[in-house]
Amino acid sequence: MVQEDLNMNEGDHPNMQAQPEEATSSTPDQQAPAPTAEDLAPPESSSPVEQFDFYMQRADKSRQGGDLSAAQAAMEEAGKVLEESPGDFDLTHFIDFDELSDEITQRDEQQEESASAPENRRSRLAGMFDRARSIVDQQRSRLQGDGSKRILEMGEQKLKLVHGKAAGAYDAAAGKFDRGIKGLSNNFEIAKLYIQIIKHERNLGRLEAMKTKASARIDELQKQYSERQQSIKDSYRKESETQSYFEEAERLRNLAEAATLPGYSETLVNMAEHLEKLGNNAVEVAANQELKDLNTETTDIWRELKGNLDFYTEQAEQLEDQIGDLRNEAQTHLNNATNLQKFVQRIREATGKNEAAEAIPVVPDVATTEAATAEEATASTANENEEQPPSRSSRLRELRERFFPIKN
Amino acid sequence: MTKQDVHQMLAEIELTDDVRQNVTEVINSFANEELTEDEVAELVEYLDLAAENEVVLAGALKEAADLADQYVTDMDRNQEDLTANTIGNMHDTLVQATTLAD
Repeated sequence: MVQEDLNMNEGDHPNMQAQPEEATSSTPDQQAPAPTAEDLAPPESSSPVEQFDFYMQRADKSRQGGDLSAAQAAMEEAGKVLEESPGDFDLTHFIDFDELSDEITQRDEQQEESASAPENRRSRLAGMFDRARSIVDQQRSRLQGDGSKRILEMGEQKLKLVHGKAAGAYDAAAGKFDRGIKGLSNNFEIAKLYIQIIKHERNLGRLEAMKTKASARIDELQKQYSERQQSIKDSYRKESETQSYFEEAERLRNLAEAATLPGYSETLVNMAEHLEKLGNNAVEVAANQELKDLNTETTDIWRELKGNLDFYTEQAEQLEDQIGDLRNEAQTHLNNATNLQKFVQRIREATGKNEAAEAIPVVPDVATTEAATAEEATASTANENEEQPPSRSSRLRELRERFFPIKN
Repeated sequence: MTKQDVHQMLAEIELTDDVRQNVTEVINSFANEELTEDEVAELVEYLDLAAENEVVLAGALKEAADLADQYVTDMDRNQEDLTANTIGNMHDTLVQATTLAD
């Protein structure tokens, strides 16, 4: 039996060959027949080779039935038999064992792979979706980046335009600022003139105070002089020598009135007059000294006043020069204004020749008003003094009328 | 209208150097040689403002001149009064003193 089995196992084991027909006719979906009692274990009297064949057939049957767990369990039993009595088996048994074991393992792997296929597909789909979404996101991001770049470029271009306009506005403002500074500079010159005038006024006030003081001093001197004169006269009259002159003269006059001798009376009067003259001379000598002192004082005051008068005369002359400069400068600015208006008129005329009548459409109301004003000014200029320039607007005209009234 | 046209017209009018310089700078500030209508309007607006500024300056200077003129007139009159009063008083005093001395 063993030999038969061995012969048969050399390539054509009867049990092993019978089963593949069944296996080829069956499908994994077909239900394997329920195992019977004899299917579960070999007969106890069987040899190891028979046991091995039993388990091998059972394993193969289970494999074909799709019950891989049962097939693997049978293979384990077959393996145990091989391990327990390896000497009872030849190489073909081992080869059959390995082949069937491999088949079962492969089938198991296929089954596991098959069982997990939907999940794998879902996973792969999910991966593909994720990858696709990533690609879409990348593409969208790239597109958005390009869009942002284009928007940024447009923004930058617009910003450049705005910056250019802002720079122009800044330059214009800077120009107006510079012109304003020049105007302030002119106003500063005017302010300096005002300050100079104020200084002169202060000096004038000082001179007025000096005048008052000098007048009071002169009045006082006059009073002192009169009093002194009287005092001198009285003093000299009272002095013994001077007094004696006047007393003797009075006595001689009294004698002359009483004299009866011819010519005696005239002689006495002449003597009296001579004595009075001597007395008066003595008074005059003293008075002249006082007068000399008084002259000195008044001369000092007069010199001081004259110095002030000279100073103010010089200041007045300088002011008159400055006034002349101011009037010339005012006339220069007025000429500028007149010629600037003529310049504007020429530009408008040139623009009107080259372009439509509605030139300068940005501020048509201002342009219209100004053009009309310019025309009126031109018409009126022909009938008026040629130096009177055309006025741009009512404001300008008001300014002109205020500062430079029209003279026919 | 070109900037050259405007410069040519500017050269034909009489202006002080500072004003001419300002106008020249404004003309040169325009980007292109051919001036647009807006730029011409802007130039005209500037020239109008400059003219107005000149009139205001001229008026202010004339006011200052008038004021200074009036001041000098008043000062002259005050000086005359002061001189007449002061020297008159001195003269009276001297005459009086001289008469007395005589």
